[in-house]
Amino acid sequence: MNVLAVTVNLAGVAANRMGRFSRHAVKRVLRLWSSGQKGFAPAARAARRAVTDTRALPLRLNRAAIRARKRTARFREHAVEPWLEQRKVESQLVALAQGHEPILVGPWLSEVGYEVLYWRPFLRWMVDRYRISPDRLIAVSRGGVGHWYHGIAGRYVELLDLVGADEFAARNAARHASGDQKQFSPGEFDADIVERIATRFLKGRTPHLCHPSLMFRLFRRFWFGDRSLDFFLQHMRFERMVSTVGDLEGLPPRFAAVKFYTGPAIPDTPDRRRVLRGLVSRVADEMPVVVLDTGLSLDDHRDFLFDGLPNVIRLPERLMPATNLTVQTKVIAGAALFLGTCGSLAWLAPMLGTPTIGVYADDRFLAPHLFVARHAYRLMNAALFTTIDLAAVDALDLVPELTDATAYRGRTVQ
Amino acid sequence: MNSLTWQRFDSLARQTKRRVFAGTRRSVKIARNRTSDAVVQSTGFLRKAVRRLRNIRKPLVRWRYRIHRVHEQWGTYRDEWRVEREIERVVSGTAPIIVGPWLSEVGYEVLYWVPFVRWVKAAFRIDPERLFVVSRGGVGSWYADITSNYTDIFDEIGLAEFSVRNIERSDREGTNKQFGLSELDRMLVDRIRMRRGLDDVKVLHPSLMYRLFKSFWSGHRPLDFLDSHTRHARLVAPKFDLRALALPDEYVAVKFYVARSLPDILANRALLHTLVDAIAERWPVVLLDTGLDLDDHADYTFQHGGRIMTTRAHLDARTNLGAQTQIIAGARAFVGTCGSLAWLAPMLGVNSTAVFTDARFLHSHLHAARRLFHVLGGGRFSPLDLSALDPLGLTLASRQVVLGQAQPLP
Repeated sequence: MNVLAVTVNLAGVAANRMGRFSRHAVKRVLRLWSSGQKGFAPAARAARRAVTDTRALPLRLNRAAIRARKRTARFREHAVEPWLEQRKVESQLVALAQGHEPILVGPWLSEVGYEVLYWRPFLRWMVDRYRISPDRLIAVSRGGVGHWYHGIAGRYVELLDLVGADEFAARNAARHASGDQKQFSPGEFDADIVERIATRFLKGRTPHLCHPSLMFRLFRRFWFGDRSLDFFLQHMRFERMVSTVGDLEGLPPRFAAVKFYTGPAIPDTPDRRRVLRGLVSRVADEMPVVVLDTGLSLDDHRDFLFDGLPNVIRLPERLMPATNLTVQTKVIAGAALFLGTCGSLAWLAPMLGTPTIGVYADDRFLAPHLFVARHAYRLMNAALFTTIDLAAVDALDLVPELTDATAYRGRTVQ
Repeated sequence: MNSLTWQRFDSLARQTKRRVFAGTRRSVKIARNRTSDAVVQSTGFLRKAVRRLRNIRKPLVRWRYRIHRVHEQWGTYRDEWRVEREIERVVSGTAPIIVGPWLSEVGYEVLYWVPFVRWVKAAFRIDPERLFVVSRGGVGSWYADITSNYTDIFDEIGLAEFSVRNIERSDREGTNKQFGLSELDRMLVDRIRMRRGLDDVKVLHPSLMYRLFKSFWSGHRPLDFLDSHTRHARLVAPKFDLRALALPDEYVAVKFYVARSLPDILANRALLHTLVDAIAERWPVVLLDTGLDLDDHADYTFQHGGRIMTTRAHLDARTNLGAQTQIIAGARAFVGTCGSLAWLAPMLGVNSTAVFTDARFLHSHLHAARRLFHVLGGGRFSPLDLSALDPLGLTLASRQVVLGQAQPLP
């Protein structure tokens, strides 16, 4: 027996066995590793994602917090605050309605347009809603507009009988300069007027005050677009105005009333003057035109005048400050057509039953009022109200060329 | 009996009578008085009761009205929340979203739907690749900033089939607005899903927008509500090959179609003819009449030739709106019926004159448009009420042709 050969063979066998074992072991380890990898991959991915998410968590939380803060602020600004303001105004109205003390409604110091389109329907709603006897109400305004408050206030006090026209213009201008033209809060001038009324008409008794700020505060959010039309209409009673056609001496039997004034709706430019002159000329071809030129200096609007155009006349008599709006109302009520700047008396004319064309060149500040007007006139069955955008007229060259477009006089009127 | 006895007897009889009847008379008197009082009192009571009843009517009516209003408002809010939840369900996950299919009016698409989709995408941070817009007439450019995945309905069904099925849908639903998912919608969604190879899709359907904004159009919700659910942006014109049209360098694009705001009556036709003639005297006019019978808004037709040209022969259904968009974008101005493309022109930076004679159905849209176009800063949007021009005889300011006469006022 060859011991060496046996030893070599045994060593070979052992080496083979060892090799096979090691190969198997490696294979097993590799298989185990790959299966482990497969098994653990989702968990590993999830772990990696968790780490990433955890890292990004503060950022996401911060974003969510910012979003939530913005949403809360937005909700507070657009829903909570308007509602709180509404509650505050309504509780003030409830307090006003209680008792039997006279209620001073006004003093109205701002634009004519807001007075006819918002203030009057608001008061009508207030009287109806809170069952306030009109005998308790004392309307305070200017220009002899007592008949505008017919059926709302039992008594009317003319502001310009209490304060001279010059003083009124100066103090009102000072009020504008110190704040807004809208009466968002009672000012010094208001307090002075109330005191004068109390002394002169109420034997020194201080009346309850229903100040226009209540209306402005209630509807401010609507004008900004935060309150719905539904809300607005719930706080208004639209009614046509009693027509006050009186004797219109010196005026033709059929005529168009025209009142154009400068303002944000029609900025004063040579082009605008030309187009307006063309428009008035067109109307004058159809019927006589009466220009409502008051010649008064009560606010910062200036009249466009149309001197020199055939068939265009001015009011036959000079207007007094204390009655100028009465006269203008009468003239408009007697007119076959009213044509004027979209605002002020253009809102009034349909309520008097006069077909109206409101003209504007920029509707930036008019949009909510136009929206309201169209609904209001439908509700009160008012006369036709339409508008003309001078930009469209100009763009389409609807007005024929006119020469001498310079008939314009800068003058402050109401 | 002598007289004295008789007198005594008589006196006794009287006393007896008085004694017997005194109490009764008093009782009768009291009873009569009481009855009289009772009548007075009951009359008074009845009067008071009637007065109270009459007066109670007012508070009752007021309370009933308030309850009705609260109920209505609650209904409005509930519907909105439901829609918002539905939107959240649609956008959640990673599945592709089919946006549309848009089957109704162009005006609502431009003024509300596209800005609404833009808001959804921004508010829920949706990957543009997930969105697949489906509309008609080659309006992919309107959605260009939302997604590039646009599918035209006319790639799926022919014009005739679309027209018939869309009219059937409108008749069945009683409105052209898409307040629900119709058979036509389902069919289009299925076809587009298969064409695009999409397995599991969600649908952001126009009904969500219609249901959400319904309360704004009816005046129950403010403009701010619309603002907070839309994102308006300037649009970019598509680039179709329009050489065949041989458009002039400078022109006014005109599109007048029959609508409730501009009904097809003789007077309106005369006014529009005069208006178009008057514009043609100043600038060449390109009439955007398609001749396609897609909905119930037929185009007004005008004599073309000379300075008035029509696009009728050059527009096909698949690209007609895209081509019109491109023509408007290149125009000096746009004049047309208030609605549809009149809302689009300012978004393309072109001044738009939107003509109407009856604003009854336009109030909320005009209100929204007025604010939107000021904020957007695109072209100027000028509504033109022809009924206002009539008393002034202004439409007829054409230098050579005066077709109509100023109507005397009533």
